Amino acid sequence: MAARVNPRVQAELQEAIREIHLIAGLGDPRADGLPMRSFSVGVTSAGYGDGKTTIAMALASGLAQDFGKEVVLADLDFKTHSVGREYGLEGKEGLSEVLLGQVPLRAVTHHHRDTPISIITAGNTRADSTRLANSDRLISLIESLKAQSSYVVFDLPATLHSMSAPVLAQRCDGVIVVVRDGKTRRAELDRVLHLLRDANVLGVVVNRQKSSIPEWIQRGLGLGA
Amino acid sequence: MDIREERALIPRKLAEAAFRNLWILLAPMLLLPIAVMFLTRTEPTFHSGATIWTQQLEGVDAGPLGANGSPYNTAATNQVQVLNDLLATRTFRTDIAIAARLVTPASSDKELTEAADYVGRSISVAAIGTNLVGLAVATPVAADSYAIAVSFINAYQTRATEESTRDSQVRIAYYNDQITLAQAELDTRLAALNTYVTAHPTVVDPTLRIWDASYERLKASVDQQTMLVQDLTSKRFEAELSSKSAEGAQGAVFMVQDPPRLATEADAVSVTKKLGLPIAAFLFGAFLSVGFLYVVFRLDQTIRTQADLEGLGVPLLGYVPEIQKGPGAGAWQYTPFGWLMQQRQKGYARKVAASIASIPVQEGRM
Repeated sequence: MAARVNPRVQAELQEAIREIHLIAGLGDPRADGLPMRSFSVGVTSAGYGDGKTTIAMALASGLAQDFGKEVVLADLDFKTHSVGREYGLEGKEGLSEVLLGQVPLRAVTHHHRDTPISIITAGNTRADSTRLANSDRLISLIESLKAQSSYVVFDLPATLHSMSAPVLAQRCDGVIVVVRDGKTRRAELDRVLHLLRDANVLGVVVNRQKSSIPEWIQRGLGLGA
Repeated sequence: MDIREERALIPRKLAEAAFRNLWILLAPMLLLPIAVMFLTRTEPTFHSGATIWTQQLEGVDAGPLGANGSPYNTAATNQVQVLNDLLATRTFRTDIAIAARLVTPASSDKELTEAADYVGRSISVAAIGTNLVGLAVATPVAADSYAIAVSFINAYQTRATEESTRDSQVRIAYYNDQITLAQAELDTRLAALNTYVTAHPTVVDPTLRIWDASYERLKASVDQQTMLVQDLTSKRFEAELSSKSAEGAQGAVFMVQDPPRLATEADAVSVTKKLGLPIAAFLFGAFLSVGFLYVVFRLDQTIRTQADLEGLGVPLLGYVPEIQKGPGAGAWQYTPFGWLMQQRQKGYARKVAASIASIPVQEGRM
C-alpha cells in the first residue's frame, strides 16, 4: 500500500531538494564534456533527529526523479538502520554483511521496479562500525556502487555520536551536513565541521525549517515569505 | 547574508523569536493591565454633600460644641475641629448610623461597630472658607450617602443643643449653690447689722449725722455681699437664658446653606485611574516583553539562517521546510494544539521524501 502524502507538501520538498542539487552542483555536467562520472554523497548531521535520513531519502529520490539516472541509497549508519526500516526492509541483510564478506553486494541491493533507485540497508550484523568504516573493503564497495549507478547517496551516522562518521565521510566524494532549524547549535556545527575537515563538505542544509511568522507579516517585513 | 534577509526590516531570527514566543511576549502586556485594573478597581461611589455656614456671634453662647474654640482660628476651622472630634467618637458615629437606619439600636455590637466604621470612612468635613464648612459623604449606595449626610447634620445639631443645655444646667445648678451660700452669708450679715442698729439706733438717725465706724463696716459688708448675690443671680439668669435659647443659638451659629441631596449618578472615576494606570502597566509589560525577547534573541545560538553560518566556511545549500501533515502550519501553531499536531506527524517526512521517486515505504517490495 503506497503511503498517501499531500502533493503540495511533496512538491515543496522536491523543490527544496532541487535547490540543494543545484547549489551543491550534483547535476552539473563535467566541464571537459565527458559524461559525468558517478558521484557519491554522504549525508550526516550533528545529532540524531536532525533529519539526515529524511534528507538522504529525499536526495536519492530527487536525483532519481529529476535526472532519471541510477541512484543507490545506502545506509552506512549501522546503529539506527533507519533506511531499511523506512522501506520495509528491516531485518534484511545489508552493507555490514557485505563488508564482512558474508554475502555479495548484489544480494543486498534492492532494486525498485518502476524507479531507477536501489536501496541497501545497513544490515543486521552487530560489528564494530568503526572497524567497518576503516576497512579496505568499504573503499572497493563504494567503487562498486559507483560503478553500477550514477549517484550513491550514503546515510552516514550522526557525526557527534559516532567517530566512524568522519572516516566514512572521507570515503565519499562530497558530504552534506544537515542541521535542524532552531536545534543544532553553532558550536555543534563547528565541532562537526572540525571532525569532517578531511572530507569534502559540500555545504549545510537547514532542515525542518518552520516559520512562526504569518506570511503576510513576512511580506510586510521583507523577510521573503 | 541570506538573500532573503537583504531587504528585511528586522533580522529573520529576531522576528522568529518574537512570533515563536508570542504568547509569552503578549502575556505581560495583557495580564499586567488586567491585574492593575483588578487591583485598582473601585465600586461606584455616590456622593452627597452639604455646605454649612458657621460663625462666632457676639453675645450668643453656642455651647461647648460651637465654633468659638480658638480665637486664633476662623469659625470654620474651629467648627471642623469640633466635628472631627465628634466623629472620632464611636458613640457619635453609631448615633449617625442608627439615625441613617443603617442599623438599629437592637443590632449586635459587631454590626454597630461595622456601621460606625462605615460612617467614619464615608464622612469627611473640611473648612472651605472663613465661615463655610464643607461636608462630603461618599458611599457605594446613593441612599446611604444622603441618609448619613442628613443624619450627621441632625446628630450634630441635637448633640450641640444637648451639650449647650447640659452646660447651662450645670451652670444654673452651680450658681444656685453659690447663691444659696451667698444669701445665707448675706442674711447673717444683715442680722448682725440689724442687731447693731437696734443697740445703737442713733447711728441711723439722719438728723444726728453720727459717723460710727462699726456701723459703717457692717453696712459695707452687707453691701458687698448683696452685690455678690446680685452678681451670682445675674449669672444664673444668663445660664437660664442660655438653656432656654440653646436651640435657637445653635441655629444662629450653625446654618445649613446647601442641604444634602440624593445623588442620582455615581461619581466619575478619574481618567488617570481608569486609563492611566492600565496604560502604564501595558507599557511596563511591553518593556518586560522586549527585555525577554532581547535575552531570547541574544541567547539563541542555534542555526536558523545563513547569517548563523558566517565564519564557519561552509555554504548554505538550502532550506528544507518542516513537513507537516495537517493544519499544524496554520493558525494551529499558535495554540497548544500545534504541539499535538506535530506529534501525530512523526515519520511522515520520510514518507514524503520517498514519495518523490514514487517509492512506497513500509511495503517491502523492491
